[in-house]
Amino acid sequence: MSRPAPAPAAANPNACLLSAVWNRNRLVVQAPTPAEANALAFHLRIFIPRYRQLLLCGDIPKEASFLSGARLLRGDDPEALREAVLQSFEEEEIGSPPIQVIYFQPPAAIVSGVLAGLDRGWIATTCLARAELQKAGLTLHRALELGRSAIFIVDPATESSKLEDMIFEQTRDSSREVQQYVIQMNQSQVYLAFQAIRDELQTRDSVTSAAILEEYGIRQRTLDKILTVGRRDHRLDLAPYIRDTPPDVLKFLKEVGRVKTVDLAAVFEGETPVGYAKFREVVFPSRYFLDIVAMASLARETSGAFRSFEAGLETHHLLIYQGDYLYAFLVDIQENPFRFRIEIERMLAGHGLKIR
Amino acid sequence: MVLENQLILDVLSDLTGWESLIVFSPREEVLQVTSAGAAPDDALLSCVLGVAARVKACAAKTGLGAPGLTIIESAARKVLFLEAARDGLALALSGRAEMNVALSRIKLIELVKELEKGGAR
Repeated sequence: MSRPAPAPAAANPNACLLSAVWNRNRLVVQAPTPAEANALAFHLRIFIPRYRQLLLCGDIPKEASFLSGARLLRGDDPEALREAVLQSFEEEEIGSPPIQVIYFQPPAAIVSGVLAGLDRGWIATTCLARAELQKAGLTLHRALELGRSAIFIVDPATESSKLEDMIFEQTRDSSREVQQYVIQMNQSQVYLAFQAIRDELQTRDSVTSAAILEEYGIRQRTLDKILTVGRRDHRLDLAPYIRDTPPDVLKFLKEVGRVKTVDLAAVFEGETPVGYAKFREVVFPSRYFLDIVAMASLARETSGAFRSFEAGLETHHLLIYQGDYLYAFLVDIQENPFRFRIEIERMLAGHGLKIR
Repeated sequence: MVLENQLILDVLSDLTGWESLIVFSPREEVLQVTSAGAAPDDALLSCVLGVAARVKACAAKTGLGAPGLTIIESAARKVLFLEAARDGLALALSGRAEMNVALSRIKLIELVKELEKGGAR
């Protein structure tokens, strides 16, 4: 019988578990006694997004039955349970919050008859041996060995856990309460952003990832999470409607990031932002660049098409160049605009791009 | 208070491609136009003032400080705009596309200095 692969050695085990729970992967918490298994399951509680509807089944411990907002589903008849759980999943399709099933100590018949047939969204505690779980129809792809206990992840790892790694890195020295706060805050942000992007797409054919990154004030890893969790929570894939930054622009922006004096770079195709990179904390909405260009283009009939703009402010230079795309930069005032332009032209040429 | 035309011509004498120097009042009225070629059209004047106002507004909203020199370059023309620290007067130097930006920057700053130290009438 095949053994599940251990979780990647480099990954933080908590980040791996958070990722699994957040992505609605199926988990089995295994321990020699129900009390130990329950304790481990409660450790995972802070990883479950608050907006999910908890559905508690099986031998529900007293402390779990008081979890706020949890629905309890009692009974051992596999058929009735399967119906009830499936109905709860179906309700998601008509707008109910995504559910998270926690099944305490399911018998092997329930594992094979109910849980094995569900493709997402459950955690089971068990004292069953690994072989019995596999015999009940579960494929255990990953295992986190915890002394006498183990947490098995039924789904293969397919998604990045960069955001989860960042959360645990950021809260490495923090209390569990602070960790919980940071986790829940990120989960709420991802959930709300997904809804907002989905609603926005009802009035537009597509949006660009650059616009989302800027307007929502998020990084690429959070956008990736929004898309993943959206697929898992809402069975809705927004990725085809989100235009990625063109590869040449992306490479150019990465190179620009190595110029220490650049705080912000934005790239537009017409009036659509297609690339956005904020290298240091600075407030300057990229649509301001477009406003300036619109005004500077007013004399087009007599002066010809807009080519470039430069303004020295107290702390920064505002630099805008028209080329294949419209390139805009906020650069430290110490920078020499002439030298900078030459440097930018050289970089653009390296990626097959140019300015006029 | 405006600059002597002769002073402008002297300062810009070795600047190829310059066409006109416009002095704006703090209320954005055109106080003086000195031309070496065609006088600037209304579209160019409102473009220059519009950009200057827009940059000032963006800088104020984002806390990046008051704008200094602004350069707008289009296919056929370059415009440099600079507000004098004193009196709130502003100068715009307009020229053909081949006008040397580095040199015109120096000339414009020179003219603003003249304006501020009283080389104006």
